[in-house]
Amino acid sequence: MSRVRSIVVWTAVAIAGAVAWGVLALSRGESVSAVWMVAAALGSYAIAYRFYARFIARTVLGVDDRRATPAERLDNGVDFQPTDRRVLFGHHFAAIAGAGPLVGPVLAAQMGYLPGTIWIIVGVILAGAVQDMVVLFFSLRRDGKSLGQMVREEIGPIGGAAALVAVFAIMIILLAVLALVVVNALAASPWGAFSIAMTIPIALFMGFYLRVLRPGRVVETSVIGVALLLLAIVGGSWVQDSALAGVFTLSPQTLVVCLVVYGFFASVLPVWMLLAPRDYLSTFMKVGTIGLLAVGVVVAAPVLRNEAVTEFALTGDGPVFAGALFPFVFITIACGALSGFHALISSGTTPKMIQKESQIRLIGYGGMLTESFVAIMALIAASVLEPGLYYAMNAPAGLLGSTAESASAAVARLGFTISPEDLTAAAAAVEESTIIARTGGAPTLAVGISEIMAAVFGGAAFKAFWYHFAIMFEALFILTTVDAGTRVGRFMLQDTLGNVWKPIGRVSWKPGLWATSAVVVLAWGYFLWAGVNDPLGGINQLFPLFGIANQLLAAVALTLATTLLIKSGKLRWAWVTGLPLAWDVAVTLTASWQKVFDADPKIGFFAQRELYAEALAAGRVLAPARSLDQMRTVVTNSTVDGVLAALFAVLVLVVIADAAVVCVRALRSREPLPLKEAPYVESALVAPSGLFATPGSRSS
Amino acid sequence: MKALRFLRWYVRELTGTAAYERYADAHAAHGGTPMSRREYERRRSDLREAAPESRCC
Repeated sequence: MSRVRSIVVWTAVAIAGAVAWGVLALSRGESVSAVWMVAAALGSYAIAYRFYARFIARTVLGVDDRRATPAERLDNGVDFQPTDRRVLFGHHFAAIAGAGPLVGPVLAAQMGYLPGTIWIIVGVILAGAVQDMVVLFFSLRRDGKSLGQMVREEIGPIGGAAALVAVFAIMIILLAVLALVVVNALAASPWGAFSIAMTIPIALFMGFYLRVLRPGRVVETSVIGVALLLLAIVGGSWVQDSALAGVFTLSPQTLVVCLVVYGFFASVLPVWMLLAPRDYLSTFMKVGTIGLLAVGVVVAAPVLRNEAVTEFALTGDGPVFAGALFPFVFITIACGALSGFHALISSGTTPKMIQKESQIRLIGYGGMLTESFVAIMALIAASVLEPGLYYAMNAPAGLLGSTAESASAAVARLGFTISPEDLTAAAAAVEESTIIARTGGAPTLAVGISEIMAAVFGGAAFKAFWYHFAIMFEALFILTTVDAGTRVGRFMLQDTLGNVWKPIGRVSWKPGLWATSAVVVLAWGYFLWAGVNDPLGGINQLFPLFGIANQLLAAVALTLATTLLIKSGKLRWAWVTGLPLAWDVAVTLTASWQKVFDADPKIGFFAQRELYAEALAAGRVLAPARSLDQMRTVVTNSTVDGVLAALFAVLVLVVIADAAVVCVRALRSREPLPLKEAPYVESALVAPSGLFATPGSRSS
Repeated sequence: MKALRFLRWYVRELTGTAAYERYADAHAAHGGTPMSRREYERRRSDLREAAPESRCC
């Protein structure tokens, strides 16, 4: 592109983005189209990718395409394998994006659409995408080592051990909260429960088909699988009206048992049988649905009904989650803006498959921008709903009661209106018995998606189909994460325990495999069980913990990145990861502090514990608890949650303190401290760095 | 047409459907006898057993 043309194009992009931001930020009381949100996001992403990501890759990290990557040097055709950048982008995106960016923004819509939009876009540009790309780069320079290994080798054994425990604990909370989202979406919904249950036989069939009948024909198998899946959704409607409805009308408690048992089997069965085919299904559905939704948003151009900034952002006593805008919006929206979990993937399989160092920009930064865009669409889907409906779905059951009348009255007390008739009609439109207190974000998102999609494809008659389609695809993502997460957790446990007692570390030793799998499923199963039985609402209590955990993991990753920049003599560029780190630490530690020490029992876990324990001692029952047993549940849960919040924070502080020592040593030392980088080897591979090959790279 | 060709290539690569052909071609070029597709795919999926991939949220 000629220089003049480039300047013209980028100026136009900047102006379009700025206008969109202006409309979003300045509109009050008038109707704003969701298209402005899409425009603001895409304009900002384009500029960040073109300028900031390039600056980081070239100037800060100094990517060098003459240097052979681990994929080239260690190519074994299995895990190390140079892979086309566009294909790897697909793999990486499928691994990082799941239900997280769909759920967090829906909950954060309680604060209005503006805070969430700003955090998702600014956060991803300056923090989330930077973390993903930088960790990918450092792992790439270290033969694809994992985050934990890098912390141990580059910071020290204490930091390494703390990071390892933090990763494991965070994974458990993450799985529990995601599973809770599924339970809340499927409870008392025979249609949803049936279609999700059907994914198990479908996956088993696909696994068998791929293994025995047609080895390696993944596309063909996935097409069959997706067709069966759509049939299962349509079949759910029939099951709901048939005699089978009772069998699939499950209580949250039953669903927990089902999920725990399922998680155990998914972890011990061979990968080909359940996990691999599920993964294919989930990826196809993911890409397809996100594409459809993007088309839907642009074509339907729905109007945002949510306020730009709600009162709850200022008072901090919103019903969906407690706490003020700072820090809790930044905790609630983790995936889509800054997700520490991605550091595990950026230091997992992806760095072992990259052809060229410069491709980290497309894969690391670009992949995360794409996830952020998914989060923006989720925020749109939640913000096109009537606020009254939104709160009737997302406030805890304890507040709303179980009837349309009680919910309508409770919503009115919150300052919004929805009539009991409208609530019943909204449930009937998606053919669910009730949509009151369907917390967890998934049902709300599904209603939003059904509204957008029905406007484009099929009309009102298709609302119920689109609703269950959305529930199905969210549940599918989450179950894939639960499968994979349980397996990864089990591996970590086996690996760690193997240092103490050899046999348990052996992947092929069945009793060890069963025992460690059981430990992992029971660990997340415990929190899941506590969540569904919590009178205060599991999502309300646990989601902040999940956000804090995820962002604390980001703090570990950004600490490592900043330490490595300083160790490699790039102090002047250390702000690139240092500033997001400072922000992230400020947010997460404030949130942890409030969750542990705040005197308001709605926010502080121990204040909550004290309140309920005192009442319990006096034999009183405090609403929303309805019995002394429920009072005991609250006391136990708030104790466990408070201890956990404190533990996470302490672990991360240990890593940061250990890293600070290393940084000071690096700054004082005359000689640069040794890095554990793999040696330089000249590359013989030729591959383009960007999405499109330039004429230069084509000819070479 | 070009876009469709790209899409086909992309989907086959992304799902690993094309992996066997690449492997067999590489083997043939070196003059060896490649594994059968069944054997190759079986080995490939069993290798995944040893290195589980994380899936994020």
